Amino acid sequence: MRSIRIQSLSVVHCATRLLNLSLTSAIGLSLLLIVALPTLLAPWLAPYDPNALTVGPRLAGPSLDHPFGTDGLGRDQLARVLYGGRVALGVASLVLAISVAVGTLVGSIAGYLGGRTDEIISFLLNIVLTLPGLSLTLALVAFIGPGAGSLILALTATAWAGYARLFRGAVLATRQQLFVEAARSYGATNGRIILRHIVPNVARPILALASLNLSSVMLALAGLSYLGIGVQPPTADWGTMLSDARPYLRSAPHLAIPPALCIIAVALGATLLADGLLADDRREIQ
Amino acid sequence: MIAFALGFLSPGDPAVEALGQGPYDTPDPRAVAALRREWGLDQPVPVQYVKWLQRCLQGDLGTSYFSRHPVSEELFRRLPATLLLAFSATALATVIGISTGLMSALWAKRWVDGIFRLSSVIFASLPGFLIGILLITVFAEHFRLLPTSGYGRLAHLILPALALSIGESARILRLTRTQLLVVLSQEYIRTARGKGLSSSTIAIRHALPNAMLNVLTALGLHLGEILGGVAVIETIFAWPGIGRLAVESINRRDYPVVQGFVLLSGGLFIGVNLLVDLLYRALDPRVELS
Repeated sequence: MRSIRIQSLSVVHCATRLLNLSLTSAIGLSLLLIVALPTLLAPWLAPYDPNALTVGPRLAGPSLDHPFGTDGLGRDQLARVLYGGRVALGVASLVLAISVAVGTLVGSIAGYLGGRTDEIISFLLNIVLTLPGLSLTLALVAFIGPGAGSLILALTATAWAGYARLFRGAVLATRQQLFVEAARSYGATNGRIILRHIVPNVARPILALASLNLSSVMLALAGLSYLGIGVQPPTADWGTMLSDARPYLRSAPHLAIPPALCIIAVALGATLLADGLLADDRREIQ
Repeated sequence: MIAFALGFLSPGDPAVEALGQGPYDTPDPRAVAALRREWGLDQPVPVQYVKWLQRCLQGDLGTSYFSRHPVSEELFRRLPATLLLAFSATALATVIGISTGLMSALWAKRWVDGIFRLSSVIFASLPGFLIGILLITVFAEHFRLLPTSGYGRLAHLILPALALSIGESARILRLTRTQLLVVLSQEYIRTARGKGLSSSTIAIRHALPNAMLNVLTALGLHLGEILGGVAVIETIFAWPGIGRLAVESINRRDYPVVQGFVLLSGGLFIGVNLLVDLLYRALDPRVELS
């Protein structure tokens, strides 16, 4: 009975700590949600099929039928922005999820087992961390061939090591503490100690790093798609849409503005969220 | 090794790619076999790797499938343009970032600081290619002040260097500001203030040099991002550097050139960071080289 109550308390404590956001992170989070929620609801919100050609006249300006106008092939721009967001945000969230999972696993193995294992993993981490991020991503995408899958692989390949390093440090720092020793003394398993006692302590810095990462992944993704080596047409994606809108930038600027604003809003929201989380941490330490 | 693994992962047969004229055109199988033998593609993978490594160490990065010139020759011909662009952008970002960061820290929590911080967050969230397109649209197409693209004169350098440096200067601003605020709260700064020095003298003479050490490290690490960003910016501004060569080669499936690009940018990155470490030691006598 007693242990159950303590467990649920720690979960509640963890959640309130995470949700106890400063103004900066609250603004960042709401920016993210404002952009992300409509894209989640795209199938219900989108007025047309995003890839249906000539649902309207080409390059039409905003109207009641087509609130964001139509693109160079007569496709509805609002539908494409909504569905494009699913692709862009979906790729970015998968990259983050895989990176956090792999990083946490590798980092906790290194920090917990220590010794030779730790030495080997740390050596590998240092190699990955010294690789030049964006140019390696570019080359990876080039060699595996363009597409959403290779984008995820290429962006994850450079991102996971940061989490592993952060988590390894956190495990090393917490492993020696009294509450971990206490947990071990009443027979908690290694996995349980990591999940129950160490993860809640690093949740916030990990979230801050993931948030910062979301911003950079979003920008890298847009750049790769703009170069034509990201998501392949006809699939809508914000970066690809900007690249499609490029020839009409002066005659039909309304095509470029919505996807550009979406990319900026996600990158900005994520940066603000991370800033707020880190600032709170600093305040807590002081 | 990573660069070699990349080549092995690549889809399609390079020999077929090199001989084929278009997607519907199948080259003569005998010619393909001859070319595969010439490039050693018929041998087992480990043998290929050892041979490739040997050649790399001798400075031979292979031959471009497209131009049939040595890859090293192609890369080194384009390298000066990239170095010029990357160096100007870094210099510009350092000057803008440090000066605005200094002002931000001096007037911390006041309106100047607020404006700088807000704009730095926004500028750091803009994709590099978008800044490039906006600069071209405004300064080159609308006001016709500067050329849209090309290489050779100073006027050609301004827009791409600016596009590449804006995001970076925003990051340097933020870093300089936080580092300065940390240093400014220390004891020796209080001593300097007690001597009656003005706050700008304190910030520039006493605090800035110490705050710069971390900024320097960050500059070295950011080079990886700049080298990646160069590919995008060079493509937009038709700048004849290695980044644009890499993007072109990716589209042509000219893998030896892309491999060469990865090796070269990796080498540059490691070289510059080594230089930063050495510089760090020269600037901070407390650091010992192990």
